Amino acid sequence: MRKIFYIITIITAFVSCKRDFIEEIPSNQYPLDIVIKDQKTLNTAVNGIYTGFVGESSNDIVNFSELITDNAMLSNTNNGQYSEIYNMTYSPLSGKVNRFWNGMYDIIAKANWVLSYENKLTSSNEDIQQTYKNLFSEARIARAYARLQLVSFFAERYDGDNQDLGIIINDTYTNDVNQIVPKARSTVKESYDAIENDLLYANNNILNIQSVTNPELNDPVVANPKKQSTRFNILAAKVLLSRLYLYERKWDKAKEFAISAEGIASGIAENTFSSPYPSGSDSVISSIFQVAYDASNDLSINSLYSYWGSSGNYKQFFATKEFYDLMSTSDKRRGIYLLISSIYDSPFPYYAKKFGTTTVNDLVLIRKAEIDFNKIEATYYSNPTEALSALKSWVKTNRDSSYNPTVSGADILTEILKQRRIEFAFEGYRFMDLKRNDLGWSKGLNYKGNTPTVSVNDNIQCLPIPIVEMNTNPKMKQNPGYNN
Amino acid sequence: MNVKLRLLSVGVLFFLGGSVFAQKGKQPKSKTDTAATEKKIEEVVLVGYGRKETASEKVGNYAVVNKERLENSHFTTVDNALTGAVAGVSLNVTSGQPGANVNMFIRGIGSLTQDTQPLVIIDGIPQITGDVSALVATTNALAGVNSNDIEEIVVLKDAASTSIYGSRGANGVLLIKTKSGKRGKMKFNFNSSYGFNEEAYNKLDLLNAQEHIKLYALGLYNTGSYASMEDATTKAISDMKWDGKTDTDWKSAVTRKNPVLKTYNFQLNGGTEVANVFTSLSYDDFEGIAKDAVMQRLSATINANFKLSDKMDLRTGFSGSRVNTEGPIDNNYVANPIKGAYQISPTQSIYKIPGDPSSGWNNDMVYYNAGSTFNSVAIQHLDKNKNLQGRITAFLEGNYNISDNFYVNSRIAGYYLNSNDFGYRNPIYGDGNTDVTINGPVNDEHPKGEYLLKGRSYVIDQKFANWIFTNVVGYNTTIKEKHDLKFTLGMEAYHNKQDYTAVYGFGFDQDYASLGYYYPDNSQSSNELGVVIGGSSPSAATLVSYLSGATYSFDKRFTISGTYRRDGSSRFGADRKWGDFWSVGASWNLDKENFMANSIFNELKLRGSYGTQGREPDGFYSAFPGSRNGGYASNGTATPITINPKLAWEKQDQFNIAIDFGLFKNKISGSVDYFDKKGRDMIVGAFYPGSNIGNTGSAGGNSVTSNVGALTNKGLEFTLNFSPIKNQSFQWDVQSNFTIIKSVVDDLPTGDNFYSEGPSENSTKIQSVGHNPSEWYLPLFAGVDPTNGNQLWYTDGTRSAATADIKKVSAAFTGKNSIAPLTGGLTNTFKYKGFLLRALFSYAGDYSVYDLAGYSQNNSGMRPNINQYASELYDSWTPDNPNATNPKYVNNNPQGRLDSTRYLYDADHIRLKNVELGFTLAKSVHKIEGLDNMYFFVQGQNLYVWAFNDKLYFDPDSSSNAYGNALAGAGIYNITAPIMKTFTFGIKLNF
Repeated sequence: MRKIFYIITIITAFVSCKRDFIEEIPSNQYPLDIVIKDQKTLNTAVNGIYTGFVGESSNDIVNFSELITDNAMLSNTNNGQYSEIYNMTYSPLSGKVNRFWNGMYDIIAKANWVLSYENKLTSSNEDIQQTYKNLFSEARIARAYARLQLVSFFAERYDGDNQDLGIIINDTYTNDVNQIVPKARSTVKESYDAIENDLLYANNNILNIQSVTNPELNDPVVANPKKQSTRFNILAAKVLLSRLYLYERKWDKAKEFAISAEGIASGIAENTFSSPYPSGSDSVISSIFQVAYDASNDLSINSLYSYWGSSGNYKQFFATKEFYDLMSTSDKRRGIYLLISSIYDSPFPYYAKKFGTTTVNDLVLIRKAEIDFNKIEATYYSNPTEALSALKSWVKTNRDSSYNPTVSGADILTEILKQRRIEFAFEGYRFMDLKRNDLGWSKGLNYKGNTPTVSVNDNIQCLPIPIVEMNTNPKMKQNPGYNN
Repeated sequence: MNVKLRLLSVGVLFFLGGSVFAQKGKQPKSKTDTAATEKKIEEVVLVGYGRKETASEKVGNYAVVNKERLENSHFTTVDNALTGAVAGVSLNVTSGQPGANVNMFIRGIGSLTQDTQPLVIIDGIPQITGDVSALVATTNALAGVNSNDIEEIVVLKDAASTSIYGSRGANGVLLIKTKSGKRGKMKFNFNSSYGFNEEAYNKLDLLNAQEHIKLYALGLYNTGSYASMEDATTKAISDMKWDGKTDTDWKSAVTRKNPVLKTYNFQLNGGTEVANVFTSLSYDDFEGIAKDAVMQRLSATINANFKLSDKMDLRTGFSGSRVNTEGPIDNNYVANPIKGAYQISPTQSIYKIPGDPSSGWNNDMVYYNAGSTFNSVAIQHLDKNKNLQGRITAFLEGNYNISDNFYVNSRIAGYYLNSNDFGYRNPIYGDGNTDVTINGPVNDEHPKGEYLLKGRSYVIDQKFANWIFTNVVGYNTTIKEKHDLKFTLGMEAYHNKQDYTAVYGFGFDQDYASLGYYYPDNSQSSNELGVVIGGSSPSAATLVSYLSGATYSFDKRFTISGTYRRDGSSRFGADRKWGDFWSVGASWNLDKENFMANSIFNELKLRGSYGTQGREPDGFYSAFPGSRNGGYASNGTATPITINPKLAWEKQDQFNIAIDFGLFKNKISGSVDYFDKKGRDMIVGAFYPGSNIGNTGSAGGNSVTSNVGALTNKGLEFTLNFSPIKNQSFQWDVQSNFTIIKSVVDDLPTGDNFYSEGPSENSTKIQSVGHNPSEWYLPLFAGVDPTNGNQLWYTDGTRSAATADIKKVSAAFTGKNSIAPLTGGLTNTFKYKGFLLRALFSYAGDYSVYDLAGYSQNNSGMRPNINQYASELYDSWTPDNPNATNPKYVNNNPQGRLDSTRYLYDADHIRLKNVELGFTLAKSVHKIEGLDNMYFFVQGQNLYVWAFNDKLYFDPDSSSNAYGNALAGAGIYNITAPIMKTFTFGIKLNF
């Protein structure tokens, strides 16, 4: 009997082990349902959207745009990175295309998560309610920005071919994979409309320039004006709207929002190129939106500087001589470029010193000059002469004191686009500027082998939908010209 | 090699895995019965939680590796002892660096994305396994375990053996038992050995300086831009900045020709009726092939048994070790000196002025790019990668016999592993030569408060602190001498704590490095700005288990047994924590039947088992519906993590049927096992549409830890032992095993492929239904176009059309595996008087390995700056040589990089894994007072490789540690430290 007593005692001891022994809660994760509950926590979550910008996928806004087109070249001494982009041999298997797709949708997913609180967070206090509106507007700008990149790279231009193949417009986020509803591609028009809606919402709901004005948020952006352009504000919304309407060839609206932006951008100084560009991590002159980097998110060897910088680890992306020769000798922007007298590439290319001096420089994605250029280009379609004189005046004042082009007729547009090319070279604009104007391009002298020429509506002007998206989303359709 | 072990003697207490005391052995019924006398030492295998089986009761599949195989072989890590020794076990060694991780696969590929290492239990303590390195090339978590301390390793394979381990039983289980004291006077052993290494297999021809210039010129000439080869040569010399003389042997500059190894081991063991003790102290010193690669291990163990009363016993054990590993970063990093040795052009000088060390190291090299500072010699001298591993395990176990039949066993054990990595990147050469901007105080020199700092250091500290508490009650009885019954009931709690702390320092005075011998052994920068960035990530997981087992044997002829275990794990969501695992097994000893009485079989047994094992996710919080925290622009951030709340236990159902046999008094013995292991609800980092979840997936990017798909591993295991000659003075034993495994993915979500490496144009493997999960998936190389020298690929898997346009090429299944489905081992042991000769051959077949370096060095001019395989010069297409193996060599070849089957090589081979020649000098001969037998030996490891493919120029046992999981890295050669062949001389003294 005693034996049995022993055994029962022991077994009881086993079974009475505390149930919560197998409950382990992570010390660095918080349950999602308590993460956003007031303006301060909402601000933290909005800040989280920007972590989607920090990384290689947003670097590729620049790398893809420039390497695919004609400003840049891949050095012969390259390490193989990005050669499929430069050679335009990307396929649905291309890892960098997959990274870019997921990276842009990552920004959207994070914004969608924030925006799922739009109806849950309301306040009768007007100030708090306005802060909510500001922060939700900011999330919408981020979402619109990412979608604008996606529609630029993965779809045909607005009103071009294959208008049924836009991007996926998905406004919901769920953290439970069982709730995921894969979506089919929207049309190109629906894609642009969704972007427009988000930007207009921000334009109509942000009262001050900066969304984060409430000192109670204790956000460093409030305390440090130099950091303000590390977050989207109403100015960014307006510039993106004017950009969007240029893409849509809605010239009047493009001009309207450029002028509207001009009104509130007057306090921002234009870059004079008296110092390196961009000058430093915190205080980029004329920046409207820049991705903030510091040593804690040091991309080190895979940063833009690493590829483009004159002492970067890879230093294998250069400006071509053809591009450099577009600038007259009196053009201040020439100072950005540094001849590489090394003998591996012929003709000698140039370093494009737009990526700071270290691996952790901020990445400027929107700056003030775009307002002027969007306005000039939009004006051209109603009044070419006015556009030309605005261009002359701007370039002469800001870039090249002896600038005086003698062009007329359609050449005025060519000159506007040439100046736009020079001004925004290596900033992620070139690809879409060519594509939306049906220009096509060729690679230039540094390209080894048969220089490819990309014609208007070449399938290559749309990146392939990555294979993982194709395989996991049964409703997905591939772009023409690619397998799968 | 299988199957018998000879470790238990009657009445001696044994513990293993929360074990209990052995039963009293069955006394022979009659002294005159010779068969029974032989069986006096009854063979018993402890199969977990105190359950033990005599040979006649065996229903499961397990194999035993005993100490003879472990003691002299100088395995840098103990897992290496299993190569060729056990059927169904295959090992992928990921690097020749001493202490490198070994990926073990028991009975095939257990999982697509989760850890495939078996559960390793040493004296009842679950071990951390796998690669714990953060900076050093590779660090095996088992590096602190000294193989000299091990009595035996039991490899549990089938459901009957592993199901009682529930979680992680799915990968198989290694039960390791350390030595314990033997009653008797204190015995003192001393073993020591000395040896040296050389590269085991390398048939690669690279170019010398003259040849490289010649090839570079050919590549220029072939672009069509040069009128003559002379013009092209002039340009080649100028591009490579060659002085016409320099011909650097980079390999000998950065590698040791014959790295040395030294081992010393002292053991003391003995005891009295009430207490006995085993203690050991070892020091091992291994050099790696890279000049900065070393591993030093100091380890100590003490195990003691106490008999407190007739009913109460205690056992306690303590083991501690310190392993220092230093070595370069590995695999595809440009800073890897092994890679530098292969890839830096011999036209480049080590020093600024060729041949003049006083001029300083060359920091303006033509390497991947011009002006490269990646001088392997400089990096090797200045950069530092160190790992210091401290490991302590301790246990205390008590056993109380309530009665002759009832016992209670309780044990508590602690495990502590600290793995501390230090890395330094000098500010001048290589990775450290990159500015990092740090914000600091504003002053005249830094008007914006921005400091550009070069040089970096890292300290990464990982701590694993676990405990396990096990209680078992057992009841054993024999009824009417014919019915043996055993019951086990137990409960276990396991707590697993892992902390990760990282500190980065930025900015080091240039002077430190240029002095040539300082490196800061901390993460505090020596700059004016002491910038340190740090972070930590603690985590914990718990497991609680209820377990039971029962065995019934009738007349030693029939046995049935079963196990049941219920596990609750913290890694799953609230309603999915519990998993049930069970097995049933049965055996029939035909040799005990009357109708077999006069047969040639002295053993003939049929056995079978079926059951379910389980798997937890590797991640501790994979199903936790939480947020991720971070920072942006000096502010905190919160972002969501996409999870699968339905994540539940993976199940592996395994069927095993076997026959064991012994003929002619065990002159021939062996077994044949057929197994069929089906994984279902597999835990996989499954991809979901990026358009929905972006990169918020719990398993990284757009993959989320989920239960999807099914995978089958089935196969045959053969073990055959044979003693052709056995007499007084001469004995010849043959032990062999052979395994055939067929692995196939049965099910995946609709239309889904898995990418063990992550999806990319550089994927070399994907997993797809109907295919072996390790199958290579690559564009198919279609040879060289004899008309123009273009490289051709098939457009797709149909091989119907070839093209030179890489845009038209799709990857396809190759039908070739990266993990060998055929493996075998053959050991021949000859004993003649005092001499011993033993040779172990291992075989691996039906698999292929991939040269990831080929795209740089054998890609027809894609990277002309770096050194190339000699075949590019001597066997590439020219109008005069239209049938060459390699395509036309064109500098900066516009055909671009494309991984393809061009770099895939059949790797079937036989390896002479181990040879030992030893001589025992008996005490009766040497007659030295106080000294017992002396044993002298010479030993060779990896002495020879017969690769069936004569085109294979790198070691067929190549796998990479650069990938997150074993499957992804399998079969990939990316210039890790090569596997070494080792010659050792040793002595064993017994006092």
